[in-house]
Amino acid sequence: MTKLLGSRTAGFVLSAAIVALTLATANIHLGLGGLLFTLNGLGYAGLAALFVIGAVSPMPIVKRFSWFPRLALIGYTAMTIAGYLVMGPYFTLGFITKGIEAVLIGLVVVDVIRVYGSPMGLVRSALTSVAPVLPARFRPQPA
Amino acid sequence: MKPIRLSLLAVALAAVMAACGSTSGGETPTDPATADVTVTSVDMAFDPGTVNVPAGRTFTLALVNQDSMPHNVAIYTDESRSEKLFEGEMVTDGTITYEIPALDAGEYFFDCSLHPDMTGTLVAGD
Repeated sequence: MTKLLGSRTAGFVLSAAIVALTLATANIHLGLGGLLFTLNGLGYAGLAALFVIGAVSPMPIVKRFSWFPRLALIGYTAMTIAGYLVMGPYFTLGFITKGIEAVLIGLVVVDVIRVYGSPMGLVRSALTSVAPVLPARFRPQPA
Repeated sequence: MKPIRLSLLAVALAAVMAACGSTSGGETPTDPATADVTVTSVDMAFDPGTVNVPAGRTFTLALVNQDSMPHNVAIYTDESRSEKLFEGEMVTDGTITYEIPALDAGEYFFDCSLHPDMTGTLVAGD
């Protein structure tokens, strides 16, 4: 499994699926009209763009912060699902969208494991990327 | 192509198809002419904003959705939305007719569950 995930093809397919699902839920939210849904859809579109940039850009500064779109996508999607469960309304398209978002979170978690080895690996990478501005006691120690 | 890649592609394809479709729950294209009252949703607003309905008996309300996004009609006792009396299914780009339980004479508040800014007044009377 790890070997399969480690291949370039798997990485490409996984990234493409994440972007497709993100754009799908963005499109659904933009199609619903109203300020809240429009902002939510634009947020997804922005995160899809960030994810693509993080995945393809060779720039060191972008690579250093490539954990951010993944973390933001998981958090944003989880908040969207939670908001829907609290506020509704519950109808077919809503449930389809939440299903897409649940799969999206799952795929991003798989991608995190593929890239960082584990969720803790992502946390370490995030701390390392911001280490220069962290107080000394919060800086990750070299292994 | 390996099974996992096929699965991922299938999920992405399904998601895109769902996003591009105009699905909503329980659409029932009907003829609004047969309904007791008709409300049109256009440009994110109900027309008319005030609807007169018969009191004391079940009545039918046709919602003609001319917007591209889904709408429905939800009826409350008042603007506080604290007591919901009825919530209809969503309809996208079409017409749905709701059968609404009898209301006592008086004024009621209605909105679209998806777009709380879309509101109107239902006046039940003789």
